[in-house]
Amino acid sequence: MEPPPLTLLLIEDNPVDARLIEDALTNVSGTAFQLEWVDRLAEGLERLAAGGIDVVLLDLSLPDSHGLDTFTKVHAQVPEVPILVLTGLEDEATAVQTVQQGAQDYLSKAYVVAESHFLLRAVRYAIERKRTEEELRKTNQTLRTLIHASPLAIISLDREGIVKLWNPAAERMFGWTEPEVRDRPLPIVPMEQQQEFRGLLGMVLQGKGVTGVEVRHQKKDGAPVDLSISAAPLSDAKHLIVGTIAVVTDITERKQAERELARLASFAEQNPNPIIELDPTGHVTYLNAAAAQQFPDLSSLGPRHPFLQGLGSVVSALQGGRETLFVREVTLGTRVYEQHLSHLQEDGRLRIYMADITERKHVERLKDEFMNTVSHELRTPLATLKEFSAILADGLAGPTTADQQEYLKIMRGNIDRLGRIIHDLLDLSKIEAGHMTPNRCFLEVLPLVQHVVETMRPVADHKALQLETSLHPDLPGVFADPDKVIQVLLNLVSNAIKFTPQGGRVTIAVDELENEVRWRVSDTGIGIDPADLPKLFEKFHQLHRISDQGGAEGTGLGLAISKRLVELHGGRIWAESHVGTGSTFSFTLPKYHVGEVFKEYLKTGIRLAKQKHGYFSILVLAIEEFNRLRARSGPDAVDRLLKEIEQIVQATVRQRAGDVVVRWQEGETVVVLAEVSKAGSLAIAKRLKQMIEGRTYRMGHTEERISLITALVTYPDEAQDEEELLRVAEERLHRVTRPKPRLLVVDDEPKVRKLLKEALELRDFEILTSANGPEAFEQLKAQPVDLILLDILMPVMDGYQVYHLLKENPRTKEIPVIMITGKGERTDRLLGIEGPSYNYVLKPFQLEDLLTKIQEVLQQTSHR
Amino acid sequence: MVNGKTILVVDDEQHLALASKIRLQSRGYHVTTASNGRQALELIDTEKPHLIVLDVLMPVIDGYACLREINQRYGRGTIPVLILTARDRMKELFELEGIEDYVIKPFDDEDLLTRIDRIFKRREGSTPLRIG
Repeated sequence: MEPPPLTLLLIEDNPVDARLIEDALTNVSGTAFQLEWVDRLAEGLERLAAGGIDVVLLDLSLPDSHGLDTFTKVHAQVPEVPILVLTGLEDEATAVQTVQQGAQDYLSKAYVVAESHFLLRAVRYAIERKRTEEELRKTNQTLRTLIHASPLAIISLDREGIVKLWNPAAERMFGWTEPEVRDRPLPIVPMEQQQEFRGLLGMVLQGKGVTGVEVRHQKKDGAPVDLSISAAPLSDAKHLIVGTIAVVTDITERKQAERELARLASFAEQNPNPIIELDPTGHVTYLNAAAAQQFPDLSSLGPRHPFLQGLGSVVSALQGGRETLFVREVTLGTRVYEQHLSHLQEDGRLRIYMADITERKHVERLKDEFMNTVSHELRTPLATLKEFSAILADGLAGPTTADQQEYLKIMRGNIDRLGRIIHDLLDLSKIEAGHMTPNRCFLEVLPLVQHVVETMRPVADHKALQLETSLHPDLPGVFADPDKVIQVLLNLVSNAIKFTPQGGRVTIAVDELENEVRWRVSDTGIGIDPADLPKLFEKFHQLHRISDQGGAEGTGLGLAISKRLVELHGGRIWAESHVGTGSTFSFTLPKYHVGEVFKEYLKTGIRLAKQKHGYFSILVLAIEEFNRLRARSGPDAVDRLLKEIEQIVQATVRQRAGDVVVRWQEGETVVVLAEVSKAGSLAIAKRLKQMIEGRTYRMGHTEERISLITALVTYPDEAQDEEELLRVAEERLHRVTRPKPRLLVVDDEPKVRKLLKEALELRDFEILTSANGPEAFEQLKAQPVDLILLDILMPVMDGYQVYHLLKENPRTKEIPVIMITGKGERTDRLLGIEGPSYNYVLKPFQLEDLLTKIQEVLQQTSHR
Repeated sequence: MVNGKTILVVDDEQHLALASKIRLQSRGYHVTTASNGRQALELIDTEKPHLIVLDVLMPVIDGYACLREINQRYGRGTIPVLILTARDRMKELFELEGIEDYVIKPFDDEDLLTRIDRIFKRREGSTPLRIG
């Protein structure tokens, strides 16, 4: 490689010497250089000032300068240019001094002449060295600036741990100033950590750098400080490790945050209830200790773990923002848990908190069992007493005297009383345990009041009391349980009769308020002391009223029970009275608005369903051709019919909390099924249809059969809230028009045929099935169909072939076809078919999607 | 007044069974009682009742099991069965086969008697049970 051309400046007063040197340089081959010569210092300095000189060859003794001074001046002029000092024999000492002062080297002139390549080499070395020196100086300068300005504390120590470098950041971090710590042992290490410190230092000094070591040291004021230390060994030119340089970060705040986090995390970690977090795919991202212990196989089973079953629809409700929290009960093995699920919007994770409620459920069940046993144990001997006293009284054990009859009557009266008390007590317990759920339905006021009046008239007549009613015309229906309402009315009316003297009057008045129906039982009795009014509805409150039926007959619980029953319906009950004039006991019940009340009821039902197994269905049964039927047989007969249907339904349906039968719109009965899955609801629907259609009903003078249309909607499978439930039910109900469309299902799998047939028949389609193409054609020869559901993947003759054959045959080509195709099948093969474009559903499909498609296609066909 | 009909009353509550027996006897029926399912089956063989009044609430020997046995041995509905049940167990009725009628405890004696009469009327002319 060609070395760069050099420009040398020779400051030499002796021309001969100068010439010799020039020759010496020239002699050496392969060098491109330029030599400039001046013989005085002044000129030299001038020339240097102009720049461009790479090396200075300097004779110290010049006419205008001498010795060290010469060098000093030149060096000052061009500090960055290497200076080679040329000496004679006598001034070696001076020459040495110049090197100390910054000259690159010195050479004796004689030597130079003799060995000229040395000069060249010396020149080149000089330049190199100068360059290197410069670079080093620059680097050092940069480094020094960096260290000084660094926001990170930078400290360097020697092998003994004595501080050699302490930048301003270190001063700020720890409080000691540089002069305070330089050449002293590192002050920040507290006593108890000296050993560790030594160990760390030793490790670094062995050549092993460290990063991110976290320690707790101290500041000058004694305050502790958390540090993160990264340290590297420092080597000298001989590659011996002479110390260490470290960068120190104050992580006190971070450590504090970490500690706080750990503290908060420990709440979840130490919680005795399992807490689990799932990512959107259903895999576990967090498991606290309790969860790991109670569900050890959770991580490995992932989304298939039993307690995650059935969460799909829940999760989509949570993710859709329709819910923020979902609570349900789930049973795993022997334990029952209450699961609280909540959804984190940002990352789609699901939080599950499980509380073990096995004990609670156990206690609840024990209570129920106890109640049932007590009930049975109390009632049985009572029944026996009653039976035998009746047997005696009826003379079946021989004739009885008048006295005996009298006593028997007393016995029977008390047995009855005991019976009533037991009944009321049990009622009250049931209500208070929260186990009484009224079976609410649409109730008309008039028949109810009439029933009560008929029941109580004999008692009233006995006391020559007038029993009257005052009913507003056109009263709306109420949403209530008839038995319970009757119970309350009977209670109030019997009280009224009891406390009204002979010849008085008891009136039942019913009127309409804004959202309620108000019932008032007034009497012209002796009235109630205002002081007693507040305590009226308490348990065992026996009024200090004069009852002229011989001794307290009441159980003391009647009003307490009435109050609770009314309140269970969402109504209110109260009493007004004037001593001597009479009393009025009033209660309200919510009006029956098909829209609001029912929806409110459904909402509650759904909420309850969520807490348990998450299923809730409404089944709507509508009488086909209802209007015609009503026109033909009259509203009374139809009303009776509906009542009968309701009774059948009520008896068939599993009556648990939330099951209810409601009369809805024209001729429709809605059955609300709580806690029943879709499959279960389908089964019940089928059963009901069978039962109701399987018998005859008296319509006027004839016995007739009826035909039902049914619609079934299940939460959470098919609807997410009460609005959707009703809407979907309505759609389904009114979608079906006479006559029933006839569909042909062609699929080689028997299971699929059966499934589709059952599901579609419930939706009021007539279904024919075939297992393959040839069979289908046979069926079609026999009877026409409105639509064909065709599976593509069939052996022998596949769907495409069947389709083509259908379209080619003039008898069948107008029948619309819906293809059932799987994802990935080459449905594009069908593109380009002439005629109406094909319709299809993709497997696996939701039944609803298929139904929508079927309706769509049938509509299209009917519009052609 | 004896009308030639035998009724078997099956109830684990002896006293109630006895009370029913007294009532029914006063109407001219011949009554025999059993306090559990096993006894009941034995008595059907020996007494050949025309009607069985069966308490399905019996805890020890399940009343339903007894009914199933009867159905199995003698055929459904061969001997009319009237069952005694409770209001909250009514829904179970619809899964039972071979019952002629039911009465809810506590029941009115007259109601029971009327229903029994009705059952017999319906079965008028039917020959007594042939067993074996």
